[in-house]
Amino acid sequence: MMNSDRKAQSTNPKKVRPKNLNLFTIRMPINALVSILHRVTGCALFLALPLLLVTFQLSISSASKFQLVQDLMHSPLAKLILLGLAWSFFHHFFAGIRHLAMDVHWATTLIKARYTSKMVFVLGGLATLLLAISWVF
Amino acid sequence: MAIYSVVLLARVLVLTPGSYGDWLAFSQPWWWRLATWFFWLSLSSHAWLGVRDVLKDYVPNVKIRMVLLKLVMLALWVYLVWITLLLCNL
Repeated sequence: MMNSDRKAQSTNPKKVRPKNLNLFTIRMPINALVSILHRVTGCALFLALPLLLVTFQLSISSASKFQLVQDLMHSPLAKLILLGLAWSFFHHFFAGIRHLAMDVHWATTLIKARYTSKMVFVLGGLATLLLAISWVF
Repeated sequence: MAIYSVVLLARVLVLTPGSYGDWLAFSQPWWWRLATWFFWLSLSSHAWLGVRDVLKDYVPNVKIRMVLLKLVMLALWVYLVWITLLLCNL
């Protein structure tokens, strides 16, 4: 078994290269968590695009439709979705800036990377909280 | 996109459009519509690359992946035409 594996590896390295993308079996240090949430929030935002377009179309089409959008947005379910999308946006935003910084080799040591990961969570949470508060008032 | 997002948030917080008239006045300036269009153009390519990478990692079946990729591509084109029409008719 071992021998044949090794042989296969020497002829076709792609075939036996171990790959594990199962998120539930991977240990998640904070940097990995920021990274995977960047993906998850990105997907969520992508899926929300048609919702955004429909809402925008309604809101600009007439005064009564605008009122309808406003009323819909005050329902508890809409508030929950908006809150989730707001956090998704802010996390994606800050994690994205962190990735850009790392692309230009800024904060790439492990200690600094952990620090900026914490910053992403704090800033994302804070921005969402501030938006929620400004929404209420 | 990041700059547009910050400007959008700032404009909403400063102008606080609460009525239909406010909202139209907020959305209608030509430069804002132009900025919004370029934002959406960037969004389209950004979403394409991101979703493509995710599908590459998590959909091992090549046939299913290709179908999903084509659907994503189609959706992004439809959204781009959609927003273009909305902004032109605003």
